[in-house]
Amino acid sequence: MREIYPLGDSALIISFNQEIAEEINKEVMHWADVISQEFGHLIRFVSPAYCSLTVGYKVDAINFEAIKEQLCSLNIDQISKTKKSRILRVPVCYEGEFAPDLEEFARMKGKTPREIIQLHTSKAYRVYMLGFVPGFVYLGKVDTELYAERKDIPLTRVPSGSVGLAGWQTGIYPSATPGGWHLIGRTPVPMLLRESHPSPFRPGDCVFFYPIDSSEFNHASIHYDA
Amino acid sequence: MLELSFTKPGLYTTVQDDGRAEFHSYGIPPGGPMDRASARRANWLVGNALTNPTLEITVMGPEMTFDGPAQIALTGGDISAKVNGVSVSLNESMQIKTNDRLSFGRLQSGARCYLAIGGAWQVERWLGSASAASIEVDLLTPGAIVRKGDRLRIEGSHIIDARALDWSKQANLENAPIRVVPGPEMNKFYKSIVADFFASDHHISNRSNRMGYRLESDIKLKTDFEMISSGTVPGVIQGTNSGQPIILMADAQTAGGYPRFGCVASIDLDRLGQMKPGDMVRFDMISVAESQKLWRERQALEALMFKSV
Repeated sequence: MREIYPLGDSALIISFNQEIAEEINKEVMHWADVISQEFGHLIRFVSPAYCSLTVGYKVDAINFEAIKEQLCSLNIDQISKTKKSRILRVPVCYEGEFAPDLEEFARMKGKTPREIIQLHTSKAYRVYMLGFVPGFVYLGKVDTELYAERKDIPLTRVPSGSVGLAGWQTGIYPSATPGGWHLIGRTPVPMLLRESHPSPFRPGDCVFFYPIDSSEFNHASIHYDA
Repeated sequence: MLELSFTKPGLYTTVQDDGRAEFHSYGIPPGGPMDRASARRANWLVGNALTNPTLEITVMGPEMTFDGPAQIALTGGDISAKVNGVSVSLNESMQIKTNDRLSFGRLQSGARCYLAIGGAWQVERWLGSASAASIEVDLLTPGAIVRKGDRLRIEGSHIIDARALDWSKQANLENAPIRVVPGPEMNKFYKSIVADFFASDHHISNRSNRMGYRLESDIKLKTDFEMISSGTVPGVIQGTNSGQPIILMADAQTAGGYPRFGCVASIDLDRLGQMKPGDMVRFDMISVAESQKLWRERQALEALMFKSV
């Protein structure tokens, strides 16, 4: 099921089945790719979320009803999915001050910190979306054993690079912001860049975490698998 | 090369050009002037590209000296601008001489004044835009928030024939309601809440900035509807858990989990951008088609205004 409705007078939302699921997010990305290719001259941006896609279009070039009609007439399922997910291996230090909530979190889940690290690093996560603040990556889904409600009292300042857990998600805080996720580690990799790709991540990427110790913190980097 | 030295920074003075809307999918706010039309007019008055950087001057102005001749223009909110202590007008190009001092006084109208200066601004750009980044500003766009002692350099400072804006074709909307088109989740709110929202007076809260305005009013903009985080753009009106509405502004977050009640019509975003804490605001609902028609009409009027030299 897909619905298209306006988000103000210069953007629209394509809404898919409202659940957080890899298959649905893949469909969102496919639409994003196709629209970028086919509608480049009419759009300002295309931005995927979990199960919806925001498309900013040029009001001077087309109105809502016309672009909606063009989108509806796209034979999207006939267009092959060309993009393959990139694989990123991201270093995380799960020690000491870098992991302020790890012990408490492990206790809460009836596990040892080592088991939590083992679980967190043993799975491939999908980048479902970036946002709400610049460069924040929403990764999922985590194992049932890592599922947890948010903390009752959010921190007013989460250090940049903090790796957190909340609900079915794990994520990385790109810059010092308030936050309520359980902080189990920190990555030394800069999350916000001055370059034309402002984040090392893109929606649809496949991410593995690998543990580093604090002596490696200053020289570890992301590895990209070919 | 022309150089400006800031002896006072003002309350919140930032560099703003057209922003970086195309980076929405990285979670990056679009940025750009809170009153885009005024920034474009200021640039036109000094013969710059319409999307050239300007200074967005908020409520209390900075003080600066010029080390050479320049052409400048001020538009938008009236903050009692003075050159060497003598009041100057908004909405026309002015000549600045070597060692002239530009300062500001009491806020007379609006909230944001735009300063354009003819020439190529030597400012840092991030993702193609000089607009101050909403986070990590010193890392990403150093210098884009004006601080005391800062210098702004402008290459190829030029002086064109004097220009003034012709307002004769512009409608006066000073106290008119802000027009809103229905948002994706408007139908998740009780009809009575929708009706009350449009019937009520609202005030801009003190907790308002370039990211968003909070509204204070008697109604609670609230629904039990739970949604999965989805896209947002400037103008989106969110209902929140507390019921206090938030309108996302130029530095809007790119996604959120609050129901999107409505979205301010593009044509009225600039007017909203000239409001400040304490100001009263009312809203009117219009259709998307109407909103888009109004926008195109305004673009046509702008083209007319910029042709009549």
